[in-house]
Amino acid sequence: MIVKRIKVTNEYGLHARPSTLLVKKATQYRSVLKIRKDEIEVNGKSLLGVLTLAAAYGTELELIADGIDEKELIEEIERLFSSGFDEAKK
Amino acid sequence: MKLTGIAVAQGIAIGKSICIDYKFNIINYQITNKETARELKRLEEIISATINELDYFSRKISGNKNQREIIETHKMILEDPEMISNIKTIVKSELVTLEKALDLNLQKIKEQFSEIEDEYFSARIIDYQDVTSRLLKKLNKTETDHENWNEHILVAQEITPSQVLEAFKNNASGLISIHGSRKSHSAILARSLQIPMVMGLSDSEFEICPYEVIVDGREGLVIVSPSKQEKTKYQQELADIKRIIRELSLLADKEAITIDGKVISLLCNIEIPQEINALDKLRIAGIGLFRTEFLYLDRKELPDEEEQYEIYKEVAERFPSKPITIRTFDLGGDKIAKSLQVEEQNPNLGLRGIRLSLKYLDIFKVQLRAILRAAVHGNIKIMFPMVSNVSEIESARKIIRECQVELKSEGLSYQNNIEIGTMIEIPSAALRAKEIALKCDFLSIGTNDLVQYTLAVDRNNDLVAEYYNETDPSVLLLIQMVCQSAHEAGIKVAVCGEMASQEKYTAILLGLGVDELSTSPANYNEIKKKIIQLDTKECHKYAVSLL
Repeated sequence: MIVKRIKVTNEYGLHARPSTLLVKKATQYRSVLKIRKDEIEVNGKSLLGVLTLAAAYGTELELIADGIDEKELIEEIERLFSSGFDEAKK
Repeated sequence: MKLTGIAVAQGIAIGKSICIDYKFNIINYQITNKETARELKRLEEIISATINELDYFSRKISGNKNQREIIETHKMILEDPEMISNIKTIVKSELVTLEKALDLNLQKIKEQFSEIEDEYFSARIIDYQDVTSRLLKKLNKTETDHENWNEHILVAQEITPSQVLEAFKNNASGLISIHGSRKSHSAILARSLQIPMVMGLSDSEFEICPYEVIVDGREGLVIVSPSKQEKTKYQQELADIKRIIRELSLLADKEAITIDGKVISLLCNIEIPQEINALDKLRIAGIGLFRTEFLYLDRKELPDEEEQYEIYKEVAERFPSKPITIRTFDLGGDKIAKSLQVEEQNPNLGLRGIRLSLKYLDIFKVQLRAILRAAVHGNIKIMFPMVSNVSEIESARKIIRECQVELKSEGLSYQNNIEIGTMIEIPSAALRAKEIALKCDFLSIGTNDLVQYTLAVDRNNDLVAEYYNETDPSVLLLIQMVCQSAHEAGIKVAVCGEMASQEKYTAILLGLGVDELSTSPANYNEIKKKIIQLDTKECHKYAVSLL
C-alpha cells in the first residue's frame, strides 16, 4: 500500500473534467485507489465519489493505492495533478 | 379555471390531460424478489446501449472539444461502479422498478450535492440529471407505448418535436407546453399536423393534470375543469371545425383545376423535415419551398455535407418524381446562426440571404454539394433567397458549376442538370425580372419580404401594422410584372409567401398570372377548394381592377 499527500493546483479544482480524467486513468489500473480529504474517503474509480469531494484549488488530499500496480498508479495520478490536468494553474 | 398562454396551433381540443414529462411517467410498482433479476438485467442493457449511443455522438461531433468532454463525463457517470451498485441496492432493498430506482438514486445524489457549499461543484448535479433523464427516456421508448395518448391532451414542461410527431401518430387531441415559443420547431410541427396547441403558461403542470381540459389554440386558452356551459359551447365549435376538416379532406382526390380548366400546381412549404408527415393525406403536387434555416439555427456547430445530404435525400425519396424546391439558407435579418453572428444596425437591409452565402462560400458550398448529391434521388431544384440583382445569380450559378466539377473529380454521383431558380422578394429583382428570368429555370415570389421592402414596413412592428398591406397596388403591380417577364422567358412563377396560404388572395394571385401556389400544410385543402371555385378570366378582371 502506498500513501501520498498531494495538493490541488489547477485553478478550478477537481471539477467535472479533471475528475473525469482522473477516474479514467485510475480505472486503467488493477489496484484500488482511495482518495481522502479530511475524514471523507472516496473510491478514486468513482466519478460520483471524486466529484463529491468538492476539492477546490489548494485542497490537500491523500492518495491511497493498494494492489499489484500501485506504484505505477500513484505515479500516473501524481503526474496528472502536477500537470494541473492540462489546465491553467493559479 | 381559465389559463392564458400563446396561441400556437389552431383548433380546439377537449379531453383528459396527461403529463408526459418523464418524472411523472415513471413506471412505479412493487416488484417481487424474483423480478429483481429482470430489473438488474435491464439496467445493464440500458447502460451499455446508452454508452454506445454516447460513443456514436462523440464520433459524430469529433471537432467539438467542449461537447466531447461533456459526453466523456456522462460516460464516466454511467461506468461508475459505485453508482451502479447503489442503483442495484435500491432495486433489491426497496423492490422497485428500475425506473423508480433511477429516480431514487438521483434524489440521493441531489442530497449529497446539496451539502457541497462550493457552487462550482454543486452545480454538477446537472450532469447526473441529464444522464438520468437520458436513461429514463431510453427506457420509456422501449418499455411504454403511447396507447393512452389517444384522444388525450398532452402536457409537458417543454414538448419536443418528436413528441409532437408521436402525438400525431397516436391520435392525441391537443398539446400544452408550459414553455416554448411560436417559432419553435414543436410549434411549427403542431401547426402542420393541425394539432391544437397552447404554449407559454405561467402555471404549472400540476394545475392542469390530470383533469378534463379544453385547449383553445385560436385564442391561446387552456380551460381546466370547464363548467357545463363552457363545455357545451366548445363542443359545438369543435363539431363545426371537425365538419369543415372532413369536407376539406374529401378534396384529397380532386385536382387543383379552375372552372375554366387551368391546372394550378399546388405545392407545400416546409420548415423542418418532420413536417412531411403532415403531407401524406394531402397528395401534394410537390414541395414548393423547403426552407433550410433549421439546419443552422439553435445550434452551435454548422451542419456538415453528410448530415444535409441525408436529410435532403430522405425528403426526395419520400416524394419520388415530385418536384422539391430546396431554398439555400436564408440567414441574416432576424434569423442569425450562432456561428455566423454579425453585428448590424439594420439587419433586414444587411448581410442576409444570397449575400451572406456568397460571402461565406465555404458554408454555401457544403450545402450546394449536399443538394447536388441528393438530387440524384429525386426531382430536386435549387432556389436562392434575397436576390437583388442579376450578377448574384450568375455568381451563384458559377459556384454550383464549381461544386459539380469537384464532385465529379471526387467520383461522387451528383445531378448535372439541376433546375435553378430564385426568390423574388426585393423590389429591384421584381423590376429586373426580365433579365433575371433569362438566367433562371423558375421564379418564386416571396410576398412577405416583397411587401415589407416595397412599402418600407417592418412586418413585426405593431406600430406600423396598418401600413402592411399585401394588396397595395404597388405590390400587385410588381407581382404582375414578374409573371409577365417569366412567361415571356418561357418559365413559371410560383408564390410561396404567406399570401399563397390565405384564400382571400387566391383569386388575385391567379388573376395576376401566377402558375403555382405553395402553401403551408395546414391551409392546403382550403386553397385547393378555393381554386376549384375560381375562373381565371374573372380573376384577371378582378386583379386588374385593383391595380
